[in-house]
Amino acid sequence: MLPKQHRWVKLLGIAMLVGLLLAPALQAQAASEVKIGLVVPLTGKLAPFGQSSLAACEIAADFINKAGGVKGLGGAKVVLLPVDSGSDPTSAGSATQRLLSREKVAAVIGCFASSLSLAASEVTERSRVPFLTMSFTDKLTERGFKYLFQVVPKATDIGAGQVIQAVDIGKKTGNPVKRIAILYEDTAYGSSQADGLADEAKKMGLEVALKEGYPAGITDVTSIVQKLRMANADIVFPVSYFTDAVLIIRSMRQAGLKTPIFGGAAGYVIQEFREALGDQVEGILSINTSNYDHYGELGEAYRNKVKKFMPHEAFEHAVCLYAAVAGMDEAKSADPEKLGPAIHKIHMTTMPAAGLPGGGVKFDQTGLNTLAHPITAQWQKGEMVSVWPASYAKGEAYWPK
Amino acid sequence: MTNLLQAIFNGMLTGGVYAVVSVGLSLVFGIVDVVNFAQPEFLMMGMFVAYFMVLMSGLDPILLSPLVFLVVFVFGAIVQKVLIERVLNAPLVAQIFLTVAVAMVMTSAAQLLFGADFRSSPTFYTTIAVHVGPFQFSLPQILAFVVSGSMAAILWAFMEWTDVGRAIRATAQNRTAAVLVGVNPYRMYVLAFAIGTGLAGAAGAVILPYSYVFPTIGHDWGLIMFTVVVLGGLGSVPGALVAGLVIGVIQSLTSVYLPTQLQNLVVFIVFLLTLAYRPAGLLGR
Amino acid sequence: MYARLNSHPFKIVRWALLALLLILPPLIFENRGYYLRISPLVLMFAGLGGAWNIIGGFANQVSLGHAAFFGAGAYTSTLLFKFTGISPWVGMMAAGGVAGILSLVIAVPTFRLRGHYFALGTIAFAEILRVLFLYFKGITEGPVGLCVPFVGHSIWVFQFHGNVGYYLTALALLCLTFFVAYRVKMGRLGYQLRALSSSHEAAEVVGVDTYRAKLWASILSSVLTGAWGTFYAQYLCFIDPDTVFGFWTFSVKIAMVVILGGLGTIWGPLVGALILIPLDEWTNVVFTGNLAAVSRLIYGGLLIGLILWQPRGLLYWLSQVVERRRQNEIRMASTKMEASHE
Repeated sequence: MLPKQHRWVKLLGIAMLVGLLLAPALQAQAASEVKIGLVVPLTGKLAPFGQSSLAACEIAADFINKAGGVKGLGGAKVVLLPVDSGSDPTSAGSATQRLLSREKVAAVIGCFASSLSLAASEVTERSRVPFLTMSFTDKLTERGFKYLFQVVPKATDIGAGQVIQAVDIGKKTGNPVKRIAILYEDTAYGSSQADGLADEAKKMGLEVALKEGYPAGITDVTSIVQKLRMANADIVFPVSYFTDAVLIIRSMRQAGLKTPIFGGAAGYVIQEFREALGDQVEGILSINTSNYDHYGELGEAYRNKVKKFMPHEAFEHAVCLYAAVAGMDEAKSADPEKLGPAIHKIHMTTMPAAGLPGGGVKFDQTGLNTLAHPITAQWQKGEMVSVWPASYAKGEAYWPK
Repeated sequence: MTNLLQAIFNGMLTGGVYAVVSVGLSLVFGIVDVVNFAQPEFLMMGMFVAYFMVLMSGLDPILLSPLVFLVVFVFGAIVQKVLIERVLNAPLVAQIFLTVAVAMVMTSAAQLLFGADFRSSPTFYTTIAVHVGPFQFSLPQILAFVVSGSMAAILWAFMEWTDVGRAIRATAQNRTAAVLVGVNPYRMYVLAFAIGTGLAGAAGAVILPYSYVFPTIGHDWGLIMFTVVVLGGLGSVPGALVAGLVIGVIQSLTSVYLPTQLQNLVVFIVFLLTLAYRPAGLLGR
Repeated sequence: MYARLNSHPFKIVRWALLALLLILPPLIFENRGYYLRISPLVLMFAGLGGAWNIIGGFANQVSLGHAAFFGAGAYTSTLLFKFTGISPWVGMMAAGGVAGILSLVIAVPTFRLRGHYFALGTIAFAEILRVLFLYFKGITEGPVGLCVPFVGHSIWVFQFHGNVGYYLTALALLCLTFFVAYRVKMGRLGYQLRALSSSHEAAEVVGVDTYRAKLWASILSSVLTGAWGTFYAQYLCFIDPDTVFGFWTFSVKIAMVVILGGLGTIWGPLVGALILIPLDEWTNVVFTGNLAAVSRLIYGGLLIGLILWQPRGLLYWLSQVVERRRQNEIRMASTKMEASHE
């Protein structure tokens, strides 16, 4: 080898060695801090949901720190590490992996969308780091994971809830429900909820005139709406994220379809939905896992800061943060491996966890919050009002015309 | 029966737009001999340009479509002159990946500039439907179809009756002969590419009233465009128009009578079959 | 000097250095750490590129649908593991088999196609598979994706604690891929592919059965790609149709790695992967949130620059540089000889 090349190789080798030696030193963190990762979609079509969750968790972290930090760790301050999960499962998995290999986090909260949460939690479980989520596809809690925690009910229960509650409201307002139509976005969230819907409907003896899945990111729903018209249903249960929800409602209105709509949360319960459709949202019902007329202090702070009402995913992610902190109080440690079992032990009954239907948080061995149950809210005069069950209701439901 | 006819009509409406967007692609291949993998991104660009013009001027996007055409036309001309021209004689893989790379750059630039959020420009007629007997037709789609049709007609007139149009066709037919009669082929390439992409951009403006705009919308349109072009025959303008309608109808019928998730499957299969058994397309050259 | 560089003892040194470099990562990087996390990915893309190269580089049949074989492989082994408990190692072989069969299926409509048409056909094929795998939820779980059942650390089922095991597996698979590519390139098949890559007709005239040559290249390429699909599934533990059959997520990336490194060369894909994958990771770390698109922008810009400047890739450029300097040396040496004679 030429002497010149020799020199470069030596320099490169030395540089690499120095870098490797320095790296661990640079990773030392302040002792009175505890890091919690937040992996949510900050870009892409799910961005509104991720951004709202980020804002909520920042407010929550602020509240916690102002109240003295994590008591179980001697008042350590919560530091939130937001990471963009992107809009597809692989990027969520990689983002989580990157987070775990670069930072020492006590827990990870995320990812709003069920498909993203499935991928991210695969990573956290293998690294034995607690993953707290408000995603609800059934599979999340069916994998025998020990480090997964879900603060809301399962998708099939939520779907079943949609049917049960719709029939109930129909009965009370004199509108019997016999034929139903189900439209769903064909991802983890949509398809599991739709399955729950269809199964419960069959159990109740209702006729499922249409069960139509559509690809995520669909841009033209003309044929779906045509199928819906052909189905001639008493009520339609669309399970969609934001853009497809707006598309469907607009197309239905355009086609003159007046079938009552009972949405499946996600796109149907955010402020952007109302902003996109204006008065056309009036009367639209939706299932939800919680509603902002129960969010108390956190909800108010959110509304003041973001100028929109606090959507359910934002609130529930904040509850996840509180749950993680409660776990750290219980374990008196920020070691993720110890935190897992500790979170299984907690039982939260005060605000903000009490804002959830069911009044709190307690996880069973699969990681499911056994206290939670779905509720129904309705768009009334531009606001979402909880209408069912009576224990959670703040208003009366009416059958949309 | 009504449902069948309704589906067919809906399909023709969307097919008209497919036709206009794909015509540009066909034109470019016929004349420049390059498959522009970034054509869907020019559609996206047209949509964004229209969106912002609407925001600034408050005018209707369909009225603005000629302006949008011009903007995208200029951009397309630049892309052709600066980038594509350099690979006209390069190996195939270079040509393919150049336009693929342009598509990447355009998508990410749009994402950086405008964010990944979905935007829409609802107009006063966005939710209006026209009722004819038992059928209903979405007014924005009708308008899109009519305007697309006019654009196609203007293109045809341009290619048939103007000197420039004839010069472009001459270049496609026989480059050497065209040069001999005094045509500058490179200028024709720029024109053809610019027109092709401009048309996609204008189509974007025209579908804005009923479609969302976001940086990756091109991806949904991509394979449909290529199917239309191949079915019609790469290089044949009337072929693209006919094929556009055919594909629109096929897609519409598929979505109504088969599960929605499969709505593109039949289109792709048609695509493969065309490639396998009639690569020259229906009206290919 | 260049004569010396190619001499036998020096070749051994080169190989030894390469082996050392490749075995270094698991020794110096933390097992659960970041660098050892992305190293297997680098090797994977190098391997995928190497497999693609057999048909895309050697034969100039630009496939933009290799994700079809990749995804088919990933799903084959994962479904087998999930439903029958068959070890993913065996599954990997089945994956290769399935991918190979698929390549025969796609050969029928596409082999008579040239250039652009072929590329378009491959894109459509991958898309068809993507839609089918999304649709048949009963088997593939559709858009929800498949999680590889978590068994814990067990070599027999291709699951490792930490990343070292995966790195070594990737290294082994990469060696296999490159070996196959090498044998193809230096052998009769390579000769036939080179012939048909410049002109089908001319190759036929000299007696090359272009159909069979392409078929063999396609089978080899797809089998290897399918095997890497299994690796991916076992490494990432999660697969879904939109990702593994994705045009932008895999088909384009695979080809890009080769184009960057050197089309038709053996080591090109490794060079390309060594540059592209860490770059991708780095941009994802640095440009998060709203700047996430920057990495794609850089990719695209890089590709444009590369194509305009050197469409045959870095190694080709390097070999040109070396060749030119060698010519200079020879010229200088011969001038010296002439001078000394006078």
